[in-house]
Amino acid sequence: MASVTLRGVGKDFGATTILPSIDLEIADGTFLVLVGPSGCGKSTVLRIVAGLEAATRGDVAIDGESVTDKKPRDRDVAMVFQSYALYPHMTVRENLAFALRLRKDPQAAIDARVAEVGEMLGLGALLERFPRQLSGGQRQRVAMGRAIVRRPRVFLFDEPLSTLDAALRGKLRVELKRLHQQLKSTMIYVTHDQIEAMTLADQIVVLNGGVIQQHGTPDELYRRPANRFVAGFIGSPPMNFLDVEIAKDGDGSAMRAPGLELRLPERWPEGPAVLGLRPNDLVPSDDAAAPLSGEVDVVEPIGWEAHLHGRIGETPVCAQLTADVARRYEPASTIRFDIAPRALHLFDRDSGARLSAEAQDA
Amino acid sequence: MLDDERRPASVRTSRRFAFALALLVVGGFPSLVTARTTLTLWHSYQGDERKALETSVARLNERSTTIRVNSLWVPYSAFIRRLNQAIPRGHGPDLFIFAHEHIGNWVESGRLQPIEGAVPTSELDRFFPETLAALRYDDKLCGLPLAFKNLVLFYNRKLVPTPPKSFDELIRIAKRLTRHEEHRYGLVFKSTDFYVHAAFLFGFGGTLFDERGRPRLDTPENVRSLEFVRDLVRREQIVPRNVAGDLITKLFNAGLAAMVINGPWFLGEIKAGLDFGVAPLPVLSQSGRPPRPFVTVDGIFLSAKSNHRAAAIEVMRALTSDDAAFLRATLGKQLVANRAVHRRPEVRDDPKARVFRQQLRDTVPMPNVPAMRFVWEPANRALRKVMRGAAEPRAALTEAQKRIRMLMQPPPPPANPVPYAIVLGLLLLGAVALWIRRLAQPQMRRAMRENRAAYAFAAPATITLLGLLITPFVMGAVVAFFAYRNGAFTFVGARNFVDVLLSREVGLTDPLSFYYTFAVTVLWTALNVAAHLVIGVALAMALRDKWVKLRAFYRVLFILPWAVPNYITALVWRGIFDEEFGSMNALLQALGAEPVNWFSHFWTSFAANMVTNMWLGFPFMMVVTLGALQAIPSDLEEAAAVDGASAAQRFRHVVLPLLAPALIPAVIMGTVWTFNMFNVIYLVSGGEPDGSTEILISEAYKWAFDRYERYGYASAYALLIFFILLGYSRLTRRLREPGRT
Repeated sequence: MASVTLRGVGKDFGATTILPSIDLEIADGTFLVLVGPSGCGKSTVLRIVAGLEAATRGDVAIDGESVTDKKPRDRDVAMVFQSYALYPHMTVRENLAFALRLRKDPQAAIDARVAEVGEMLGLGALLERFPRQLSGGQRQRVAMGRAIVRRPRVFLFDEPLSTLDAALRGKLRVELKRLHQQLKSTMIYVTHDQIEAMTLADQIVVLNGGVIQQHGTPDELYRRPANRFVAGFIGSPPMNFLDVEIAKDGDGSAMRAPGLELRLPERWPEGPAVLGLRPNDLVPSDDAAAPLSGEVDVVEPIGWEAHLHGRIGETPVCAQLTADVARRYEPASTIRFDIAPRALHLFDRDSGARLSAEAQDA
Repeated sequence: MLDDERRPASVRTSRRFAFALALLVVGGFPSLVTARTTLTLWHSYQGDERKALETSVARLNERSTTIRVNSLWVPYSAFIRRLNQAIPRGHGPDLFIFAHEHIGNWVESGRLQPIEGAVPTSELDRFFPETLAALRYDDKLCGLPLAFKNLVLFYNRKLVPTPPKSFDELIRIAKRLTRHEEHRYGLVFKSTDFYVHAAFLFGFGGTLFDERGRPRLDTPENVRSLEFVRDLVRREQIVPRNVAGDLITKLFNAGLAAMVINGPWFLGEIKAGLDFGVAPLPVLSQSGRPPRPFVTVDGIFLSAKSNHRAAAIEVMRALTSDDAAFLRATLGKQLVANRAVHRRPEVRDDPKARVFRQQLRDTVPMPNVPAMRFVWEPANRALRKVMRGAAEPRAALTEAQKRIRMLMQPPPPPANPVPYAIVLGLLLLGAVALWIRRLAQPQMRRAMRENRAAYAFAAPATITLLGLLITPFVMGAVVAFFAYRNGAFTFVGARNFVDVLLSREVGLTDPLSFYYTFAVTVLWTALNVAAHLVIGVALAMALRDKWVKLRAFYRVLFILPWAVPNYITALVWRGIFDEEFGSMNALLQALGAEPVNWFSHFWTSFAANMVTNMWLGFPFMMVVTLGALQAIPSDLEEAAAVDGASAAQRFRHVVLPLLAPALIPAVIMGTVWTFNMFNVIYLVSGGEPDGSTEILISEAYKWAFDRYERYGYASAYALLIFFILLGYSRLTRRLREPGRT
């Protein structure tokens, strides 16, 4: 159990800067997910914490003690690799016991601990098998087991589920979450899959281009994305973005775009902006005064819900509806949407930063 | 040249007869008119000597109407073997030209017929008596002499204006001119070559055979001669200790050798422009007598199987006539055996020829008796031992005498081949029966029918392999059941194996014993393979790391030893470990250490072999390891690092077990290669000291080619090596099969 602190951590490969500078505070027992598109530097951060990669700059501390110059073996962290990295010449039991044997635990303690963890992960019957005799999911469990047996201060996961098929991934996700609830350890989890991030994390850090875009709870990230990148990255289907013009309108503001006419009670900065709308915040309306109107393109029914793809002005949008509602709309027909004011996300057209209303309250 | 008067009557008669016959059948058989006796002549002369001989042969063919000589050049190195094979089978030459020392063997094995009495004594007077003496075996003249070769003193006129008359004087001059640190020597000769040493041995009144004609080396005179040369080398230190290869030529041409003892062939090796002279070998001050070197005589000999004795003798006489000899002396630059030629101005005025002729008076014909074969190896061995200070002359010669006795043991008695034939027959029958039973199985027949095309495609390769691999193997295996003496094989059954395995002729701990050599071979193999593995894997691990700059360059550099043919590498290392001229000792001396005589102690000699073979062997292991390392994901090592493994533990627990599947076959192969690494042993240590660093394969070679041609004994060795390696590969097969991993 430990906290992890990154202060000004950066990494260059030759002349290429992968990470300019990362500051991150991870409280004890947190399940922190580092998420971002591939190449954003999230794995590098993880490897720097593990000690597999040396930071070019900055300092990594575990429990307040700097480990920047320590070898991986002296950091008391465990890592689960994307490829599982099981030792192919060792049985499951030997894989699990390896770290314990290295630190010269008594054999009885090793046996007990391996049995316990094997039980916990449902590997009891597989202990004498070799990795090549296991399925993908079983290997993944062994890889986790190998981390768990050690009771490390910090768990590191490097996209551990990415090589599994969707069904298995969903199942293991739940197991992982349960595991965290059980172990209450500090875990740092790297993924490019925002659903994994949302479902697993206590805290999410969104990385892009080596820079932290936002750090917060899944809820915060979902409800108040700090910028257009985070808004687009978190949530599925992704948020719709419309270019809008904001003008003064009495005490409030008016927002206009082709197919959009909306009056807002608050004051928003005038000028061009980007309106972000989550697909499930688009509520179909028969009211002719509804602020959004567009044309239906395709309806994708997915059981009880359906994704309605259409266009507002020239911008393609996606709305998440119940299947019953979606069924009413034919392709090429007109559809109007209401939006709850709370559902509006406005971003600066150039910087992508989140805009706030009420700033002019003074 | 072939004047009618000189021709024997028989030839004249046959010629007339032919003429008469031609007249009788004129028009009917015109070819008979030109029918001549065709004789084949083998020789191994090269360059000008060959030109001179062939010119004489051409002239003879031109003039003679009854005889035609076809001269055939046979390489020197293959001459004896081909001659020994061809003559008994009847397709050998009628005449052959070679050095005289083998005539005893040839007469004893019925390959050569003496010509005693066939040439008028008056005609024999034209040769130097020393050269004729060399051609007598068992009191019979066995051929006619063409040329002689003996040792004389060559001296660099710049360093030695007038040649010494006595060895005391020579030693004085040589001491003045010797500078070890500059590699300058007063006198250079092969002190460990018995051919050269014989000059001193006879100069001290020594002998090689006792009154009953048995080799006898441990006489007081012989000991004295050895003491004398030992003192030249070790006390006076005017002679370099190890004179191998072309060192004499190099030193003399570089002006580093003031005087050299060498034969006429040396004349062709001295660089143009070097001012040198030749002189008879100086008188030995101790005995008051001159050294008496061996003289070897190139003779022309008559095959025992020739059907044209008379014609052949006529050709022998023609080719040894004064005119033919003059041609060989002037064009072929030979020291011819004809006295008259040496009186002709062209030869008389050559001061060098005069010196060789002068020295000829003080020579001993190289013994031509078969027993001489037993002398060479033990005598050379004794010389090497004494010159490197490992034994006193008397002890060394006593040991040599013991060794001669051992080598001279009679061959095993012939064995009854019947039981062996029965066993072999039963084995063959069993194999055939097994084969037929398999063929009789329907599925086997079906498989053969279905794969007919495959069998057809595989057939050429299979037949070639059978021819190239199986045939020699079977031949070798068969020879192991025979004993070879005097050109004939006798069936001795399993006696060779029994002798080898019971180590009957020598003690178990003697370097000649099979078990001693086997132990050395095992040690050699184990240490080498371990070293190859450690160095190869270590280098591969180092080269794998991304941070090693110029990685590609190093990889090529480290593979280089592998790319160079191994005998070249072996020769280079042999030079590096040379006691006086090698860079290893130069390095030691530069570091302030004493130079080491690498090949005079077992461990240093073994180490020299080891270093050479390590150099040759590690690249293979390195390449195998590099390849296998590519297949190990870096994740595994990272996982182990996070799991708490140090670099050593990662290597031990993760990398090494994963390399093992690739390394085990490499180790097995490397073991077999090293076990039979003939080139390194033969070329680097050559088994020195005293055969103690020999491995089985090089020992087998020595039995076959250095010790009286004991082919059967050597084949038994080879077959035992085969079975040892077969057993080893059986044992390790389980390791090679994919195990748990």
